[in-house]
Amino acid sequence: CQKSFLELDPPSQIVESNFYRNENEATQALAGVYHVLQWGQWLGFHPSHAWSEAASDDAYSGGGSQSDGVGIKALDQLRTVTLGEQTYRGLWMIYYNGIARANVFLSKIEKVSASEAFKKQAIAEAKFLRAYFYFELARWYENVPLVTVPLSDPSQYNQPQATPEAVFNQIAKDLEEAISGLPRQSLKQTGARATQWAAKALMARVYLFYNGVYNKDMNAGAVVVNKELVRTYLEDVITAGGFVLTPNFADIFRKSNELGLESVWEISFSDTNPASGVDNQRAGQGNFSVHMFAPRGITDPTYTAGWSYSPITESLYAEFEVDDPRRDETVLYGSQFSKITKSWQYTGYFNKKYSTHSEYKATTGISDANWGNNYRAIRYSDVLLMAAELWLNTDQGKANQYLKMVRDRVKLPETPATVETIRHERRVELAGEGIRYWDLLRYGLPYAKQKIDESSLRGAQYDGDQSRFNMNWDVSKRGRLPIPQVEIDISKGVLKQNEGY
Amino acid sequence: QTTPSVKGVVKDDLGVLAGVSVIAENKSANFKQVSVANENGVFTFAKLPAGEGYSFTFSFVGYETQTLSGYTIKDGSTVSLAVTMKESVTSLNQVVVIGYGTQKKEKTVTAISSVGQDFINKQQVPRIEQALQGSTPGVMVLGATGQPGEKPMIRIRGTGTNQNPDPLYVVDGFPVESIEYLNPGDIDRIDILKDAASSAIYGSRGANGVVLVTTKTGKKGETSITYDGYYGIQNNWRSVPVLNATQYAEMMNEGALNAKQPIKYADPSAFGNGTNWQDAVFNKNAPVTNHQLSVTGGTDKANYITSFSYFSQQGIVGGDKSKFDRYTLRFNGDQKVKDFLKIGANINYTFSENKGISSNAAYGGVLNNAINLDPITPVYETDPVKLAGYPAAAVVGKNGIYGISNILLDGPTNPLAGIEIANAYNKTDKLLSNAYAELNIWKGLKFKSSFGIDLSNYSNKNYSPVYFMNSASKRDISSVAQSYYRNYTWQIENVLSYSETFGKHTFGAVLGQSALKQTVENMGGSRLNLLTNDPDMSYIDLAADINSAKVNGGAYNRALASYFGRINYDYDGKYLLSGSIRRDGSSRFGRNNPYATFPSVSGGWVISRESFFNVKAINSLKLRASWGQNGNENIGTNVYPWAAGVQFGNGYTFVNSSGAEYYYNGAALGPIPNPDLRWETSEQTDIGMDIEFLNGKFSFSADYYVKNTKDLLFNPSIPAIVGFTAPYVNGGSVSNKGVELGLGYRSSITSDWKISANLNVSYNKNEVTAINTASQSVAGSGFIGVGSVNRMEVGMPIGYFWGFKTVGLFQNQAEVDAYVNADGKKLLPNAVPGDIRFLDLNGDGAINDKDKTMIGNPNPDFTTGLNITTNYKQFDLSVFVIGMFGQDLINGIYRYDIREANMPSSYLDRWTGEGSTAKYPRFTFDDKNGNRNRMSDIYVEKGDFIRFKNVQLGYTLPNRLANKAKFSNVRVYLAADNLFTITNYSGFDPEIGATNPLSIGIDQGVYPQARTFRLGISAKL
Repeated sequence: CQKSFLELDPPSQIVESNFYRNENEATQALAGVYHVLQWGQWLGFHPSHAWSEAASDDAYSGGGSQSDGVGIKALDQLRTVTLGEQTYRGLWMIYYNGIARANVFLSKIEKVSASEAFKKQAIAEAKFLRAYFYFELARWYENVPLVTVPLSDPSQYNQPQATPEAVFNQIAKDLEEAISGLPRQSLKQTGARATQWAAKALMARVYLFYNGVYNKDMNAGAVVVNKELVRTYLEDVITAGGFVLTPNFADIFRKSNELGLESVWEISFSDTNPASGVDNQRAGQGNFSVHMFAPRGITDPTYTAGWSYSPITESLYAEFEVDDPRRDETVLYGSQFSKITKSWQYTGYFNKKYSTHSEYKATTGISDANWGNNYRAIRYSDVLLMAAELWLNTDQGKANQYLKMVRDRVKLPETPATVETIRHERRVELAGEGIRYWDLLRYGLPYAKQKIDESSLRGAQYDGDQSRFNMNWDVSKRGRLPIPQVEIDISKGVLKQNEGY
Repeated sequence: QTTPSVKGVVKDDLGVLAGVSVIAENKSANFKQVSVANENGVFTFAKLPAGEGYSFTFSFVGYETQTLSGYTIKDGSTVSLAVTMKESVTSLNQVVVIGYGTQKKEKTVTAISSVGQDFINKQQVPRIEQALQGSTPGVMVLGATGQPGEKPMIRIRGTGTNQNPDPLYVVDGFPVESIEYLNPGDIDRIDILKDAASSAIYGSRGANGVVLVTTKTGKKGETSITYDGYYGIQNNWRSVPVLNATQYAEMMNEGALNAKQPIKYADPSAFGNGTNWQDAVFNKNAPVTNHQLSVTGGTDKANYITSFSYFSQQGIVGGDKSKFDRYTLRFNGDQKVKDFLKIGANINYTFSENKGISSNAAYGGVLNNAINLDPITPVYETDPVKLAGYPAAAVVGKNGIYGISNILLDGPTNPLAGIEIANAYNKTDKLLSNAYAELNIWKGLKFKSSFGIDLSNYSNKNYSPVYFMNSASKRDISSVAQSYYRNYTWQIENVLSYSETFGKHTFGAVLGQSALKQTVENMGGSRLNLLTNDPDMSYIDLAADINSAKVNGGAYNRALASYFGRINYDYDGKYLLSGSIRRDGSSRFGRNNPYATFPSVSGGWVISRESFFNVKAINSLKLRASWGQNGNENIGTNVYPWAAGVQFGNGYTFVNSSGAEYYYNGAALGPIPNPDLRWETSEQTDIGMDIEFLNGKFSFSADYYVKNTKDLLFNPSIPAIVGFTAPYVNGGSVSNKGVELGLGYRSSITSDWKISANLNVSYNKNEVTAINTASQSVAGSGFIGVGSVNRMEVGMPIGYFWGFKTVGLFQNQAEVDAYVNADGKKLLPNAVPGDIRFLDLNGDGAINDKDKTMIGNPNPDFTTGLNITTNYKQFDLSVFVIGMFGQDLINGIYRYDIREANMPSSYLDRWTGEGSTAKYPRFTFDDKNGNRNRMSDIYVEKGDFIRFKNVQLGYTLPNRLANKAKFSNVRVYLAADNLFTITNYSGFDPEIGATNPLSIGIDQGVYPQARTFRLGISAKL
């Protein structure tokens, strides 16, 4: 009798043993995996998108002051990285959280009472998401533990790092398995859930990165993922996916074009279920990069002030051909605002593609943490440029044709597809979209260093000492973040620090 | 009519004395009868059997007992007696309240401190916890902030946990979470159980000490009505000087020049003094008032007391936006139903409401803004040209539109605008009631059964209007939120107690059982777009945007089941022994460990009762020792740490077939459960002594204790690859060692002039002795841009400050160049003269986080209190002083991360050129050396202070005068709280508490304690 008096169950909480029972609950659990895609903040402010911009030659780190976001500051040159800096642990935690949710989901789904069709697609979605998280993780940290089952016992907690090869093979395997289970539908048709097109395009992106950095093919189980396979995948996306390039480049990033015909994979953000403030961004659905990018101190009817992170460099501005209409759709000019705080590494250029434009503003009154801009993770033009790159010297006509399609849209003259013209086109076409840095790394460390060092170039609107803009990229760190020192400490040395740190 | 056998009157120095108990005894006839003096001091014995050898014994609390003997009673004649009682100077006969009982102080062998009615009534504190501040050794009370209604921080014998270190409060036997609901005027006494042996009877909840509060009970005699009231005014006791507008402009120019940038202000003097934001923010003569009326009366069989009180306090910052009001109604009654049966009940209802503003916060704190906002911006903007450019949502105040800084476009805002838009409003209704029945079963054997409830309804309303304070502090759509909580706790307790003396042997025993259950339910909602701008009409029904409506609701509960027992034995009052044990079960712990047992033993030796002891000067000398164990089940917000909860709110934005976005609520596993979780246990040994000498003129007590808390509850660091939040585990220990001294003096210099003084001094040393995480440390609160500053680490005091050591400033380039590591490389390559020389503490040739070390300790070494009271004829004067020594504070009121923020004037003492002896580094817009954004010892200040907490002068009307107006005990007084503070600390207030042991001692603009002058009166009818 006394025992039952003390055995109180949580009155308003479901416990694990009473969950994962039916389709409805499985759908809720799967939404919980998707949710991690939206996370931008944990132990400091670091959406992957804003970080990869800051790390590239397209943007500096920026922010309010020298002491604002010190972890992000170090991304500029990877030269002043403080190993113990807690913000480097943030991305690590975010992606492993997503992976753990996917692992739990995949371990529970078999026992859910649901139709086989439901299970097949749900498993494919979870694997797609797990691949997405691992790809982000492996790009940032390179040498990461590979966990594909729930770690339920403390004796399993301490896992050593896997080789990049093993991790990328797992990514390839998850994507390969996802492809067969995902619908050949547009994102609008699936309601923003993963599609087969998204998985195929992501496979190509993963392959290009892995092959660029390690010069190897991947093994998705028995399937060898090589140039030919990903070319086939991209051709399928191009010929059967029904994608088109949005006629007017400026329209791509308009709200009306979310999940539009150019979107191969998109992460959905909104102000539904808003977070109460930037300190609990994870509780909401908002795109935190947008707030990070926005100019500081402005008062404007169209744009809302933000934190002035990742300001665009003169180097990117100068990369655009003079009559390229994309330049003014990529760069938001500080000079257009009557008042502005010229904060750290002020260049006068901000990210316009992911801007605090009023059409995306939350209707809740707390806009900062709840920007609704969907992240266009893979655009059709990216697919075309990847295909062009993969056809180079194999089917030069196709390569030229795909490059031409991208340039035609912005009414620029045709140029023959070469390594250099495609690199240029990727940079200007996809600027501000979190893609450039990874391209730099796959083009090779010397190339990355050369380009990042060239971004020391001073622009006319720059504010402050030139020493703030002088880039001298530390190539010894291979462009990767340190393994979070706290994690190494917790592992009692099982985790090894990355090269260069 | 019968002639009374005996009639008499009892007096003391001041006049007649009511309530004295008189025992008429005739030993040879084995006869005994009791009478009590009435309000005029008159007592009578109506019919005493005639006989010889009568004696009359007069006793009354606080007075020496007197016996008059050798009287003969004859039938028909009256014996008249006149007695003058002498105030007792010895404290030995005093009674202390212990868990589930009371005990004579002379027989107490544990460390218990008591605060009596005299002291509480004299202080007239707004909250009863404040009566403990400085009044007894070993108890540290710090105002968290000076905001009205704010809960102070209490630590008994140091901080023993990383979880909630608040003591357990037990009011009239009923455990409550806080005691803020109590009207201090209703309190009879407070007893603090400090050592484990005294608190072990409270088992799983005694680890942080136990505060036993006893409310007043009715007094036998005719009904009397007492009024107490005061009115006071409060002001800030200091402000922090900051740069005026001219100095500010000059400083900004200097910062620009040092960064090789063009100066911004061509003519700084044109700005004059500019705005003094603190003058604008501090409320002048903020009122505080209290009224209390109580009625008491009773007979031999029944007595009651009932009281009503009203307390109201406005803050010294924020006016009526920072306000606390409390109404209490209490009834305590006891009734002797039969000779063997007594019943009673206490009923307390409290209604309180409070409003608060943001304090001690770097972002949005009103005082932080008042320090950091530039002095060039006006309080109100009056320039029509500028106003034309103001946004529609600019905040409007009483006298116009609040100024918006043109210099600081984000960051600090106009603090008055911040106050204007603050509309958080809390209301609490609390009904606490308990009833008991006590049965006298047999000689010395009693059974008491009690049942109590605590029902609290808490509601919160928040209205955020549309506003624009700057580009980062704004709101486009107004919002209204309301929430309600119902917190209901019941407790049932059955206690059997026995006490009997056989010759020189005295035995006592207590055996009991207790069960408690708490259920909390909550519900809340919000909606956007309020139709009016009136905060008083901010209800959800009046918010227009129905589609934005949100609701939430949930519940949690917990239960405790306990069994306890205690035995006492003493031989001839010389040798004292006591032992207790409690077995406690809690629903909050792992299903594998629901129960735990907490034992204690204590013993004492009253040397002064030994026949060989013949030191005349010493009246009493007692040595005592105790040991025991206690638990702490107060483990933070997750009340089901053993359960694997599924957390909703983890959804995603999908789109429907028509393309519209919708939120689909998703779920994910919460923190990892730990079914093995058990209590946090504290083990304490105490050795003490009590002495009284020179006929009780002096009393002295001393204690030495060692308190080790183990199995601290942590969220350990687990590898992030696990992907879920770490479970609570038991792993970690903290030790507190200390010495407590109390010295009392009490004397009548002449019959008209009395003086008493109490001094207490406590020393405590805190050390973290184990943490089972990889780094053996836990990071605490962060500070703008520099990460964690408070830290918990093995070998260090809990919450210590972690940062860089410095060795002065570089005076010239040669010094910079010479500051090299073993390889000849510059340690601070970006430094220039005037920058800080940070120390490469670990000597690894680089300056980084590994060089961070302890730069300060927010825990005081010594806390002390001194209370002196003197009465001369009708006048009384008392002075109460507290002090804290050895603690450090981080003065973090300056927003160094905002380059054009204003700064405290102390920063004028900055490096300006070679040979400068300044404390602070050069001011520059381009701080490449990280002078500011490396937390270093430069910003740590000594927090020692001595504070005249209360100084009071009273005058009591002579009773013959008062009686003419049918009053008695009429006293008027003038009191000053926080009259002086002696400190070297340069921020708003060195008295800074915190609820979390790992976020303490950082001043980011703390709401200071007010200096208050009060005029009060009390009278009895």
